[in-house]
Amino acid sequence: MESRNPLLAVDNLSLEFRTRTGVVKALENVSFEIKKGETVGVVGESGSGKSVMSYAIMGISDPAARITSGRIVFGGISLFEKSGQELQEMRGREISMIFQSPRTALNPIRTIGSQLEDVIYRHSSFRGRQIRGRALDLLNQVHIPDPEKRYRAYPFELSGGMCQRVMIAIAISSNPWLLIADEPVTGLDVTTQASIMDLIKDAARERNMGTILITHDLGLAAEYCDRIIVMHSGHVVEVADTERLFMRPRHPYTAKLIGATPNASRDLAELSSIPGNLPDLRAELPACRYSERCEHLKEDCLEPPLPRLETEAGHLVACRYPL
Amino acid sequence: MALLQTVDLLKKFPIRPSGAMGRVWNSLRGMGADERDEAGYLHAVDGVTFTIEAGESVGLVGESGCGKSTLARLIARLQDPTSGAIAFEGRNIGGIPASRFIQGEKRRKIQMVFQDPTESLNPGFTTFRAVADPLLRLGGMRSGPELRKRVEELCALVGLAPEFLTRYPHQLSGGQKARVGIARAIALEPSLLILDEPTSALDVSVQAVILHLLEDLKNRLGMSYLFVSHDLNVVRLLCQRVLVMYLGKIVEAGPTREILRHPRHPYTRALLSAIPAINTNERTERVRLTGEPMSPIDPSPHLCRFYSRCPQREERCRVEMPMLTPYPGGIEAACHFPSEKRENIGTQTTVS
Repeated sequence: MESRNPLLAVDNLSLEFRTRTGVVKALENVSFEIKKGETVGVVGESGSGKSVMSYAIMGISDPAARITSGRIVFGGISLFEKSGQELQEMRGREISMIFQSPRTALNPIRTIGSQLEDVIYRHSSFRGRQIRGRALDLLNQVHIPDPEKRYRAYPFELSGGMCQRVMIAIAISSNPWLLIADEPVTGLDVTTQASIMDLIKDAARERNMGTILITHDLGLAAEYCDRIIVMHSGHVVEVADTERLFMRPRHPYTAKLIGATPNASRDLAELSSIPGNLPDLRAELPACRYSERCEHLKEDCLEPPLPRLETEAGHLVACRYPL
Repeated sequence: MALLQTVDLLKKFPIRPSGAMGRVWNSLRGMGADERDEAGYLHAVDGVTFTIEAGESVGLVGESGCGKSTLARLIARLQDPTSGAIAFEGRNIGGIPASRFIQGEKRRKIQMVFQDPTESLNPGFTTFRAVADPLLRLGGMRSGPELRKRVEELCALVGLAPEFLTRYPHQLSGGQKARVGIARAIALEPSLLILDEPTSALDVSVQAVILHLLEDLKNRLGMSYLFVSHDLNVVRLLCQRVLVMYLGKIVEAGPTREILRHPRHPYTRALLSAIPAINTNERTERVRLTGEPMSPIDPSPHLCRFYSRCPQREERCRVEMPMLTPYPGGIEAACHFPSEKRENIGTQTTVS
């Protein structure tokens, strides 16, 4: 029964940006689901539409963006039918987001305590003294040493890792159902990365919270996600359970991405690169946007529609000739 | 003779402001206007000794703030060391002020590729001008067909098509900008190329291309590399030797292969175990670091720098700073309680 009512369902979503130099087709027929308590990784190169998609879910797209088809259903209700007021209520309470650079996401001229208090005031029934208690409790939960002292600190006084912990505290303060983490550890040291990811994972487990982890680091996705969505220039090209995806990638792009990721045993000679670049999304594009870079290209690959094969239960591939 | 050798290299930055602000600072602390106190220095690089042989690639890893970029800038002679020596091709260049080094003949021998290709290219320079600039300034070349030929040659060497010569940085992709940064750094045929996180701003697909290019250039031009990175899996691919830095000090050094297989220092172990891996059998037991790094401002000369986060600290680590000690396999590690445990990374076959 659980699978019939996913926490989040993105269905056939297409989104474009109208720019001076043309219409950028940033997302095309993107579909996927997130279940309760599930951690799903979204991977792909920069420009593949990972962030655009998460902004669309939050309803915070750029004014130039226009959704041309599809719907986003969260908790059984279509987000496009909600009013601006309702969306505002939902953001930060039911869906929270963590951004890439915590230092720019936090207000530099206010203490972290006051920023945390704002969010608690807005999204909970705590009032007066309780708010401070709750804030300190949250700082404790994200393992910030000496929270009483850090409460009065400004973002510049904390390290990048500490700032990201504060962001997590803010994001989970309302016990959301869904957390979108957009490159939450990019730019942090590996040792810090590991502790921040453990924190996100623990927070998700305790609250049975769904998590979307957007990252370009396949290793990170492999280690922390239950399922993985691979994106390439605005298309979802492959969806599978983490283990199955890395064991047997079916889309040529996924296989190339894995082959290009340095690991502990591969030599430089074995490290493959992906030929070509992401296509210009303003141009007229073939059905398969990877076709230009694909080594297995066949004639009918360029013709619509883009296939969506289910090679095994839960393993979807947008390729006519999967590997 | 080694290509480059540093001896006890030290770089301290005063945290006391200079000029008028310094006098205010002093008066607030009840000191004379121009009195200099010894206290209040950030020790970015604290007594670093290492060598790079001709044709060798050495990796420098460590977390942000550990001083690896400062060390790279000292060796590139963009900054002056507080004390210590840098011997390059048999001459001590550590004592020459950076402002004078620019005019010296060794300037062209040590070049650098900077971290972010977008930030480090002049937005007003075309590719041609960016690559021609070092040739005009230091290479003794004049504008003309010869210069054009040389720039085209260099661009071909790094895989940039001639049509990119007239483009500005904003018209180039990340990978193309990285190539421009490399082309201008190798323009003067340096014997030492310092690469400061050359691929960290790039996607894996582009990273792979640039790594292959760097390996190819090294073999063709016979350069030595000092490769600064936080990613051991990338360092592994290009470097025979690796230096692990923590809070201004080298805590472990040795052949890359040996360090990956048998890291002795607890920080190296933590660093290795934190790298996320796709293959489950490459994952090692996570060494969790608790606590926070110590302040690099006037650190105690007796306390081990890693003490505040070390999972196996003992009383001795507080009273006696560990020194680099040799171990079998060519490794040196600065720890009183080096690990005996071997890692099984890379020894198991991967499932495909």
